[in-house]
Amino acid sequence: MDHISRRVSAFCRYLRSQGFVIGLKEIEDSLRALSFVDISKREQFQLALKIVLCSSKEEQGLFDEAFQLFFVTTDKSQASVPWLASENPEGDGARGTATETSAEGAAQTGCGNEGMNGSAEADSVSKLGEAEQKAADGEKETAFNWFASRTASQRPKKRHIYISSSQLSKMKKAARKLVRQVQLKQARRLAARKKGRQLDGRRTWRNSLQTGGFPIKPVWKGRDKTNARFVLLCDGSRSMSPYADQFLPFAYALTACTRHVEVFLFATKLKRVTSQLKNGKRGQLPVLTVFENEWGGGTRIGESLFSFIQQYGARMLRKETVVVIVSDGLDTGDMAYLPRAMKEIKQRASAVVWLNPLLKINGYQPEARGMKAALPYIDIFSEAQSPEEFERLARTMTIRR
Amino acid sequence: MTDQPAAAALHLVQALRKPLLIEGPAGVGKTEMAKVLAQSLNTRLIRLQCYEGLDVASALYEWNYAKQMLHIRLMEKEGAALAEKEAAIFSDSFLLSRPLLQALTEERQPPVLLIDEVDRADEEFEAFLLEMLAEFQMTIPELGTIRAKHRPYVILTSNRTRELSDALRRRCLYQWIDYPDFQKEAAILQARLPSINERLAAQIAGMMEELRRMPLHKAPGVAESIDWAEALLLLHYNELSKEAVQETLGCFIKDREDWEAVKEAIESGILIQL
Repeated sequence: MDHISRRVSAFCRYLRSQGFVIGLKEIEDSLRALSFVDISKREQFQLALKIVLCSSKEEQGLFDEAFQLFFVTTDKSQASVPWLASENPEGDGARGTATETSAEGAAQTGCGNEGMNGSAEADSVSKLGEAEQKAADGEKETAFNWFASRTASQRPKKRHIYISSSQLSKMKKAARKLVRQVQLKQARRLAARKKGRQLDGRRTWRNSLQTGGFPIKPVWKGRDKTNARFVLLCDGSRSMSPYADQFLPFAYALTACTRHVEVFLFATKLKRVTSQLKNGKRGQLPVLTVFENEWGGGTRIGESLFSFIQQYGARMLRKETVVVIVSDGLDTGDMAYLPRAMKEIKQRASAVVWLNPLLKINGYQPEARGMKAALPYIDIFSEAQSPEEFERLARTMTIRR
Repeated sequence: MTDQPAAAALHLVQALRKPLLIEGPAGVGKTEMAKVLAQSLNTRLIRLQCYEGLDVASALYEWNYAKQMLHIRLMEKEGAALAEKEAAIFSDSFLLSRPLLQALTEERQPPVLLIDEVDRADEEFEAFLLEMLAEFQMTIPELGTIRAKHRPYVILTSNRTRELSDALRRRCLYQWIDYPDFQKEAAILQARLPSINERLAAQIAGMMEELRRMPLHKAPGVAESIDWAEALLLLHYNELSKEAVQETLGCFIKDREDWEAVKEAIESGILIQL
């Protein structure tokens, strides 16, 4: 391998460690792509790699930063670091573990601090020493961590959210209750159903042909029901984080109960975490990885809801959708968005539930600007924290359209 | 009209022979890229419009049942053997080829296959596409495996109404197209409508830039701004005025609340200085 291809494949490995879907095929493709462009021109070089290696808009942003650091920055310290020297697969493996170690380290600190409210301040530089001890190949490790720490400082920090396992079985029970309870559409038409109330004469008769004309197995018919789809939008701002700790296990329980759930977190930006919740390793609770602006910062409820409508509304806001918003309504963003977004959601979904933990406080009045603006569009305004309360909430939810 | 990233992406599609996935907001010219590619290669553009419920029968192939039935009736009197009849019925002439099959069986040169708005199709269909995109072949039980004569250039577009699977993304090159900036939009308008004067093009582009910054439900795309410019030309407006904008608001605002918001912004003079 010549210098460029080594450098490019090191770059690919770094991107892979950042969550890019890059396999051997992609590395090969990127090298092939480079043979078709004029690599003495930086734009062409960068563009070719970008087109091959990225697979979403978000990744393109990360790519540009990484590219800048990897190929462009002419820092003296960079020249002295031999991070491109590694060609042996062992080095590659060791790199992987090093990043994981530092991530775990950061996560543990987070746990110690406030449970789910992962500490983002644990920067990778402080973890560097720890990782180095474990790594066999010290020099390369330093290089890689050095690189990781530089990238980390330039974009929103990652956080890990843990889901507490206590009371999970009770939460699941409450979630099942909710799914059973909220059955929206009841068609007028009668269709064959296992637990129908009426005898389906025609089908019973037809089936009796198999048994020589004796209707041994009756077929029942009843009204067709459709289970609701749930969209959970959870406010993860700093003021909400103790409550979100209670809510996320419920969200997790709900995703385990039914397929038709979508879960989002928002603070100043919206983040879809459905797949992260569903893809927890078998037998283990999922750990959510989010950026700082999606968790634990200030809140822009209106903008977040609005971007939800714009990005996902067409698909997720349907007449069988129940939208559950969990927030204290303390919106620090532009107030023009919230009423419009709420109106839109109300129009397009079947029911809007707003859970506000502040309701627990005696004498609480929804006086916050955000809460006041959203109130007219809410069907159920309540609060729930423990499994019992979620179950009670489920019982009161008899939304039918 | 294409800028450097777009040109590079099309270049790599030809060089690497990998499908290209284009994402971006509605009306920024994603579909146009495929058309441009087909035009520049002087080849056929085959388009598959995706929608919810799209199935193999309408994407790949279907037997022409009516014709088969007629044929059977006509052959009834002939004493041909059963095997012969069967072979006749399941031959190419009874096969209705849908876009994907057309792309594979194109005779002369590799066509451009545009799979439009792939995010609208179901996930199952997406999975089915994977096979086709990876191998460029498919199997019709009655006829056998059909392999592409020329590997088509495949372009997929998506509006991001749903996340596409990683498997599909991995198989594709990726290009994100955003709204054009002021200069580019003015250039597009002038290229598309040669009769437009520079000033009007610049005014339209400037207003579009402002509009896209507003919190609208449906931000106008390039397609809308071209429509609008065309409408203004038809009405013989040589520059924007309050009245001109209000008359032609329907060209680029397609939502009642947006309409009111924009109207208010125009009235109060926030949007443009007229």
